[in-house]
Amino acid sequence: MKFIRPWYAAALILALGLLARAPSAGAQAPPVTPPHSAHPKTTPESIATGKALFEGTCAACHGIDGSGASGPNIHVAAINFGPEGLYARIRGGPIGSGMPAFTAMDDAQVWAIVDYVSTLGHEGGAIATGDAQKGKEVYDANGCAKCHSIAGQGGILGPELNKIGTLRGTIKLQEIMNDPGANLPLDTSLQERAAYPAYLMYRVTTKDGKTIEGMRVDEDTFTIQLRDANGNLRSVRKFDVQKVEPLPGKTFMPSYKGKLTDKQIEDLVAYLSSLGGAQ
Amino acid sequence: MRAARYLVMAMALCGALPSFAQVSYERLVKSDSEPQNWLMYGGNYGSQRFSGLNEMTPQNAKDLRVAWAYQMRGNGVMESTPLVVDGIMYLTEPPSNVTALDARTGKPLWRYVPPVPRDFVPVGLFPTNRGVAILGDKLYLATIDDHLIALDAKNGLVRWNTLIADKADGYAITQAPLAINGKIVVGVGGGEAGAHGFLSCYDANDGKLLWRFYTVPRSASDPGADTWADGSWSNGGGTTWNTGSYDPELNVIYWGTGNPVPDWNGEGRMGDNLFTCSLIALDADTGKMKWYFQFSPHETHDWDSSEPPILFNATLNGKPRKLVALANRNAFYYVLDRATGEFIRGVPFAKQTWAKGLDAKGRPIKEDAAKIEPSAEGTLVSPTLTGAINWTSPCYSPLTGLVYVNARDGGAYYVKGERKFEKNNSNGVVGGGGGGSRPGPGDETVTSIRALNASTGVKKWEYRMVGDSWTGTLVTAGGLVFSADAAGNFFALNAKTGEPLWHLLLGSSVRSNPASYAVDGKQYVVDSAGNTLFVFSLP
Amino acid sequence: MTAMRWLCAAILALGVPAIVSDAPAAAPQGPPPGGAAQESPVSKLTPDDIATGKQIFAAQCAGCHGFDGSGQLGPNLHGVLARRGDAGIFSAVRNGTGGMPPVMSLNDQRVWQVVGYVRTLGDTGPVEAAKGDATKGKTVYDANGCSLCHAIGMTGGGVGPQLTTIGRSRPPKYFYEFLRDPGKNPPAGYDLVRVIKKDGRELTGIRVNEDSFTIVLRDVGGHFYSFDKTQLKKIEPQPGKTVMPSYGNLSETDMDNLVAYLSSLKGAQ
Repeated sequence: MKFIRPWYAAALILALGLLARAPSAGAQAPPVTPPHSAHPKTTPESIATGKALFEGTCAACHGIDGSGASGPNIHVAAINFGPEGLYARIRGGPIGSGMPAFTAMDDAQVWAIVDYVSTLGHEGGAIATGDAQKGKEVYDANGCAKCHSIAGQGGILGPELNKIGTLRGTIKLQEIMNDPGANLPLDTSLQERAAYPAYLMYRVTTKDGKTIEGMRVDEDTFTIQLRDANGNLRSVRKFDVQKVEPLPGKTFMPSYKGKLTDKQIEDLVAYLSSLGGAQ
Repeated sequence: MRAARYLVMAMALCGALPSFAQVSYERLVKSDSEPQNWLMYGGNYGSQRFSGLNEMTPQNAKDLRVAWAYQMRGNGVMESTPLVVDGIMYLTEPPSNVTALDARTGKPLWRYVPPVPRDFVPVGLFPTNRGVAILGDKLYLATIDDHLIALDAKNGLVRWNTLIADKADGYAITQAPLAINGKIVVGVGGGEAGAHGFLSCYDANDGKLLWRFYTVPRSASDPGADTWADGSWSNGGGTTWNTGSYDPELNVIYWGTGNPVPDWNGEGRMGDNLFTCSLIALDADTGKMKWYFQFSPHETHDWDSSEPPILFNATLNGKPRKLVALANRNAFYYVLDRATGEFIRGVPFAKQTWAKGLDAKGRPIKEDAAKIEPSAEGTLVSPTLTGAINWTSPCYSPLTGLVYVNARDGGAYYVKGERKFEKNNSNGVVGGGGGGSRPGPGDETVTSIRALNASTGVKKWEYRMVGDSWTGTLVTAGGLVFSADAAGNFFALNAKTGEPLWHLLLGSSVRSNPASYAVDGKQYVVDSAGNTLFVFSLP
Repeated sequence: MTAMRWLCAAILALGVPAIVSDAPAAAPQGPPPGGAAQESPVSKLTPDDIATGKQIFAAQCAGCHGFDGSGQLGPNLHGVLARRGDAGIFSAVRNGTGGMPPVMSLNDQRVWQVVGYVRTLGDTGPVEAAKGDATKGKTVYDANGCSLCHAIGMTGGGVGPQLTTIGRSRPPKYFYEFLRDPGKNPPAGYDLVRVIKKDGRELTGIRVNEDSFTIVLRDVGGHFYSFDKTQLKKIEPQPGKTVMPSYGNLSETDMDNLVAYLSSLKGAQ
């Protein structure tokens, strides 16, 4: 193809830009949150009010502690969407989700629910006793960044740790260090999988006897998608292979029990606890 | 006068052309003889969901493909089973809209949108609709805000509109009404909002109330009041939120009832709490109760018995019997005599840890209270709160003698809480039933299609799926069972063996029951996934 | 090559200003104007604003109200200016109505542009009162069999449009013209079409819908006829014709009274 004159190119790009901008005829504009009051300060009272409202109105679909019933587990939502995002979802009823829009509650009620929901999803806490500064050195010295990222630096095989201090309490972090396979987090990548554990190891045996091991990304009755140790996505149709077996308790992350001293783990836990931003 | 001439011509046109074919009560009774049509929510009066069509078979199922799709207008969860009558499909869309489509091509013909208040949010259920009923020349629609509306089936014009209940009292309706002889039977929902359950029967011509049966006593002298300690019958419950069945020969209505109130906290309501979590059999003319069977006395896990009662006949011990089967949320499959209510058999069809078994009368022999009652910290019990089965329908094939159930194995931590209700007069109730549940440990909940001997409940085969599926089942004369997994894979199994024959990923969960019909001799299978209604056929 | 050059020039000429002007500028924010004392933002709208309003309408409103605003899932907007006024139209878009969700994705400036367009739909002249007697008009209605095809409230037929609230969307002038010649300007959804099947048989009916592959007609008996176009030899729209006969032969008094009756049909208030 001959070289296109620059101003032809400019026109083409502009034309494409205009096309991309024009909303498709008949498309519904996504609902934008109506103007609302600012988020008032979170207090123990607002959380208690929110809890009562949650248990009365939301628990019927989301479970008594928000971990899901006929509606999804919302522990992920609380941490991912933030207060404004939660407000918008309660008021607007996310499109296609089946969740109704709660337009009749007043702002104070919605913010109270937001305050309560924001406390969900934190497990196993206690004050960290180690030295977070030394813990960072342990983190750097033991190759954690090969699989984990913090603030955009590091690997992608394991979960990102930017908010790990908010998601997991110190007791839980300790348990994970000792036995990662028994303490898998819930899948935060897809809303449809928010109730399922992530990083579950599976072994697939193909028809000619070869095996593929990897962490489950998604699965249904007919297919399974795994991520192998190199980070590659492997997509398998169950009819095409001999066996698909879960490997409970196994995961790519090794146990650090015995590899690190108790003090090192304590410091490492203190460091991880500090990751999560001010609350 | 020219006007008069035109008028005469118009009237002649009306007369000469085939008038809109009415769906008489006789057609409904004999619905099995028109397998090309799907004339009521449950397929037939026995809620068997059996299609007499046989074009699709285990041999050609692999060739199934999408014939057409329809995308619903608006936001929500589609749970409707469409009716198909002589080539026209009547579908409902959330919250309570009715759309008529050409069943052969999917082209829309008309739509009725009732004036449901936009800010009405029912407690404990999605604002959606599961279908309409048809009788004569009218469709019958129950709306989420508790109206029963009769529409002209030709064009969707409203012919009458009657209020069933006040949403300010916690009532909300999602079910398809049941049309019998000149009468429309419809229940109510709202058990999570403390509503008092009842079943109503209206005159199909003008919407006048003919009878109403209350499922929970309303005074100390009502039957069953002595099964609620300290006048706790005033709490309410026993809602009738899922469409029931009808025996035209016995002239009896069969309907399941829901949980007592409050759901997870039974302390203040000691006793069996009649007639919650039961199957009630009512005289269709008077609404008087002929018999009842209670599946879960003093129920504390929200295991409503609102599952479709499947009516079928079988020979037991050499004698022909009229039977009713109900796969209950509490994980037991029950077979009763539908003329007398006699308990014949009850066996678990899914994982359960709450009962040692059933006694000779079918009453559960519960495990120790400490093991199974909801507690402040949470008590792990199977089945889950959503139940071994929920609102979606199983089906029955008279050819295989099997009932096909989408069964859920799993457990949940049941938490007891304080009971709090607040009436909010503009929008129904804000408040709750005193507790709830959170999911069980380790494995996710697993659903499987199980084929049970209809008379004995013994499992013949099982097809295990991945994930928590909320789809009902359909069985056809051609020998196929249709359902879907949680991811939205719509599939066909061999009805005799459970072998999977075909599937297609529809892209969203299939929260409804499949149905089948034919137009011009061609068979179609219909089910919805997400916002879209899919219709399948052979090439 | 020259054609290409002109095309690119045109895109650049039109596109750059379009993109630049689409940037969220300092739009007049704040609540819609209150009483009549304030000058309506509508009076400040330019022809460009109205053209933009039309574009926004086509993209975001037409899905429910039809491309010409005459209604589909949502109601007919023709004449809505007389029914609601400028502030009323603004409020309907901004706050929603019983059936319509509030449109929060447009800022105030854009909503006024849409108002500027929508207010031009339909007959926007001042609405004069009907001069006949509505009660006598009901007798004319009943005597001429109108309810065979039309419904008011819960009674009547479904061949033609429902008339329950027709007095709110049509001025008397419209009724006089329409009753004399219904075929001249039928509302959307009542086009008469004649099809000739491959076997020579003919059918004329009201077109329910049509696409590249199918067409559905309905007859006055409420029966639907669904065709694959491959079954048809010819499809002939019948412009100027409609199933409804002309009532031009009514006496002047009867006509005045009938128009008064139709104008009085405004549904529950």
